[in-house]
Amino acid sequence: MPIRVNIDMMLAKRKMSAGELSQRVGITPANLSVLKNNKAKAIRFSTLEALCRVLDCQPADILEYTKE
Amino acid sequence: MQWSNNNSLKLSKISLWVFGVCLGIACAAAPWYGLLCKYIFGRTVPTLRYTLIVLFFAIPAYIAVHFLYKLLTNIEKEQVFTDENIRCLRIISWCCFAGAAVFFAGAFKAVSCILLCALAAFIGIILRVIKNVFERAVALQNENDLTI
Repeated sequence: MPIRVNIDMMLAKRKMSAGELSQRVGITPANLSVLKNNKAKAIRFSTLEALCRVLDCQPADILEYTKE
Repeated sequence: MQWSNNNSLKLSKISLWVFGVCLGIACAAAPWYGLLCKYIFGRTVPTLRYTLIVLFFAIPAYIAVHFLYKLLTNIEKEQVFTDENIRCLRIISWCCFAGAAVFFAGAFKAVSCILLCALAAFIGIILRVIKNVFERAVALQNENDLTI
């Protein structure tokens, strides 16, 4: 998929663990893993909003478009 | 709602068992069908033809019963829209077509069989459409599961 989810980078910047992020965002660790591994087919605006709020960033910091 | 759902599944399973038992009895009794007709209705019927039709029909029918049971068991386990269920539906629909073929072959000697042939083929077509719906449902479910 040309859209990549760069949560790892933001997690490193914020010095936050994946477990803590999933807990604060309100998604299961399994679903966070799906997101991190770019297996997700779609992301809800509510999830994106929560991710941006918790990581204190913009959607563009998490999502990246790359040409195939 | 839950109560009704569980009972509906149980009823389906019981119906399937009853159908299987009835088919078994029909198979076992097929060679004596001619005698039965002679004594009850007073007319002779071609026993061998009837026996062959019933026995050849019983093969796809029992395969269909087996896969229907498997389908019901999967639904009971809350695994509804899965690839396995699509496979079950596809096999059941082919069983219906096989049953239709048996009746079609029987129709060369007994014209009334053509009605049963049409009925079995129509059920097969309906099941194919349901299978197609299931395929779309599986795709939708996969997409939904991967929407975070």
